[in-house]
Amino acid sequence: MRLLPLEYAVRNLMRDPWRLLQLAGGSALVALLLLATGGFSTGMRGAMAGSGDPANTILMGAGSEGSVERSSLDPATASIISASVDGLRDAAGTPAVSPEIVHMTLIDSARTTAQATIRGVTPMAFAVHRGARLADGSLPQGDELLAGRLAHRRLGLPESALRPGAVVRLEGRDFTVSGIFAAPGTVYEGELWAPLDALMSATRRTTISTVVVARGSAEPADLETFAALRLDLELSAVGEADYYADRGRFFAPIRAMAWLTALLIAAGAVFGGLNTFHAAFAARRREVATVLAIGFPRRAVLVSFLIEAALVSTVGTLAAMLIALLLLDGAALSVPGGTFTLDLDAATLALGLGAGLVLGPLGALLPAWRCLSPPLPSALRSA
Amino acid sequence: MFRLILPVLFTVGVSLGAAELPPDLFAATAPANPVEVTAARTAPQPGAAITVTGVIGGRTKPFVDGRGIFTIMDRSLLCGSGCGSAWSGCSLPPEELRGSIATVQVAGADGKPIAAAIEGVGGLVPGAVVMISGTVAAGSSDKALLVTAKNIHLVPAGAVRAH
Repeated sequence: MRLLPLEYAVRNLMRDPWRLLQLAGGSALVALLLLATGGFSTGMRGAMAGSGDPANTILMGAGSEGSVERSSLDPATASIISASVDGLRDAAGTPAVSPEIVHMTLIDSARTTAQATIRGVTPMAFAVHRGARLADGSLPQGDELLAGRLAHRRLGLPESALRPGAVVRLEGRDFTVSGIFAAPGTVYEGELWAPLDALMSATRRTTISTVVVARGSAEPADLETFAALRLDLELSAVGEADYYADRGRFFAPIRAMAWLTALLIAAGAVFGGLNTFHAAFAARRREVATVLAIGFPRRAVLVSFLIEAALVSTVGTLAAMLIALLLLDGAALSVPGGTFTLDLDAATLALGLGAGLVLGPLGALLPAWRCLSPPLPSALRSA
Repeated sequence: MFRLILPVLFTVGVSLGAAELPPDLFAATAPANPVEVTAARTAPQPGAAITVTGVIGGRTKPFVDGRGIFTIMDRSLLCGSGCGSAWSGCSLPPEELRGSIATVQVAGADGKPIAAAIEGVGGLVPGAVVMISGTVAAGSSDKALLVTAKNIHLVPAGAVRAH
């Protein structure tokens, strides 16, 4: 088949810079939207999956398996587990058993009041949550706390507001930030960690929320057996990975809504592109008829139109990918229940690229057909 | 061919799953004068013989995977549920449930639950009504009753009185 030269398509694109900008901008918007939604979905799923260590079991109050925030246990539970269950992972000579409080409360800083998740911990928390490490400052003592790397995002504060030395007020008491901790790819990074005793005292709690156990050679069934044998403690043993997988399923409707919104906007953009291409091709009906009259087949002109559309959508998509990689990848986002970073993984980038490249020619197909379908004599006479 | 092989494999699988359970664990006849769980919880004497009846449940997951242990709940609590299965006791106030559940273990020589799955064996499923003959295990009190089962009698579904 005899094709039209590539420069014909390029020259046609350059004829109307405003239209070129419109089409490229539309493609960029669609690709950017899909990249953002994909990054949001992957980041949220990854944070939930990353927070649950398959080697850990969470012991929480029977009947509170869906939410650690509602759970309530006797503080002695941790030491009873340490003494009763064999094969737990060793952490500096003692079983890796971490009693914790997970408490939602309002935090007052110099700049704002916001709801935060604060976790009461002992140093053993770093033994069971193996991804967590002290990134700056020192471990908290007394009325001090550690701020997760993304906690300022969760609270809507500038990063400087939670630097070591900053003071936040919670439950009527001032807590000084003693350090920053990192726990990449987990929801913990959006939390504040305070000493267990200090938080119990500040919140006037007499119970803890959970005991997180690193199993070592012990099997999950050993902890479940312990919970069944000690009915007086009213425990339920749940695999940490299973718990966070369940929490992830809770967020599935949010992810579905984000995808639906993105697809609706993408569909709107395709229709917009369709309209713009229609106007662009209709204005060239006589010229196209001339090209056909000098011997080029209709298919050659159709291919030229599609190349035109592919070029403009490639420009838009590449611009969107650049913007996404520079501004979106790794950006923190906070939703009720967790803070996580957008993750533009290979699959998300491929989706954005693929969709951006396909939607352009797809939007051009119908206008191209409309432009090429009239009989040659009437097309040549058209204004 | 598969029609012949599958039942054999299933039978072998069931046999292997129950291999470590005592062969005389399941009793065909009901023991005499079983007490309900709530009554058995009042003053258990470790080492004493006990015959208790209840419904397998009291927790959302009454069995432990791969272990000879499960929980039972007083039959009087087996009422309508607004939160899932009636046997789980999930719709009951915790203070009501607390005094009406007990743990049943099939223990090995070391007194600990044997490492053999018991769920599904001999008809033991959540919601099934059982009568347990055995002894009150060490550490039991009015706060937590642990029964070491010698015999388990499964009450046929038709024989369970309505509550």
